[in-house]
Amino acid sequence: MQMKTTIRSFGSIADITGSSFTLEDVNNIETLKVKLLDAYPALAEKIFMISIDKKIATNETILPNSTVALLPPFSGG
Amino acid sequence: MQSKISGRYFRQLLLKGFGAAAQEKLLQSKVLVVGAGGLGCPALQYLAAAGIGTIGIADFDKVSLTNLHRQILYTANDIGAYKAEKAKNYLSNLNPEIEIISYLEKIEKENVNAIISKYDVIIDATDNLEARYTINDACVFLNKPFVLGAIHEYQGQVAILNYVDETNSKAISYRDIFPNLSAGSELPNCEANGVLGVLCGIIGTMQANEAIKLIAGIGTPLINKLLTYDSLTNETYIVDLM
Repeated sequence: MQMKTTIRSFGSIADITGSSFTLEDVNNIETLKVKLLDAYPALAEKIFMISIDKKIATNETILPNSTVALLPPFSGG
Repeated sequence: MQSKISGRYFRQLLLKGFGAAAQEKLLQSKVLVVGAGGLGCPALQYLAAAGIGTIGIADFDKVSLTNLHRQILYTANDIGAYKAEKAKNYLSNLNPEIEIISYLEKIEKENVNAIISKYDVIIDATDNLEARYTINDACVFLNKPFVLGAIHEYQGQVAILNYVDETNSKAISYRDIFPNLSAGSELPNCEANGVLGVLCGIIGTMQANEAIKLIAGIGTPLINKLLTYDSLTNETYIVDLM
């Protein structure tokens, strides 16, 4: 059975992906990055932090039912 | 003890868990606000009113007409005047019992350490990445916490970075979160993408709230946590940066 991961996007990333979407069979950060670029090539130009279940992620496994978030730096003030 | 504290703080002295001890900490503290714009104006008003004993205001810019929808310390009569001077005048009238120092020069690598070293907590209310990295690097070098605030269209970010104490051993810096930004990767600011003044008010006020909590030792400040607030949905999303 395919695993679906919910992904939340913020700031300028949401302009590309929408504020929420799903990807299938995303088991770890490396797979996530590949699938993100396949689905949204414009993300290649963007800088963003990735969190898993509201914790900053490095190279961890993404478990079923986890929520991933893509958070870019904001600059205005 | 309480009799020495001005009556202007009476309503916050009444708060459970605050009182004279917390007020004394605010009065003894020194906070530098870098940027007296959309975020800096509300942050400065609340910090001054709450009785932060010494407030530094650093901004080299002058007031323009397009600032007035969000930079609420200034009036139409202030157009063309230095923001840091006008803000100092306003805040001195708001609270004559505190010390307010203005810096009219741009905060750069050459002067940042000398200025920041005089303060306990830094509020980053700037509008560009170059300034943010300059403040971040000086705070890391001088071991000072800073309260980040930033806006993108209808959303804002708040975090307390570079803070170390007995319960929090690892200081997270802005470069730990976003290490790959170069000077060339400048992001859109409010001039390019637009902003509603009220969002600056909310985020700048949150920065003041976090600084007050940190100094007074109350609540759970956003230490090593990045809060994103969406003004269209009222959603907050807090990510642990440790």
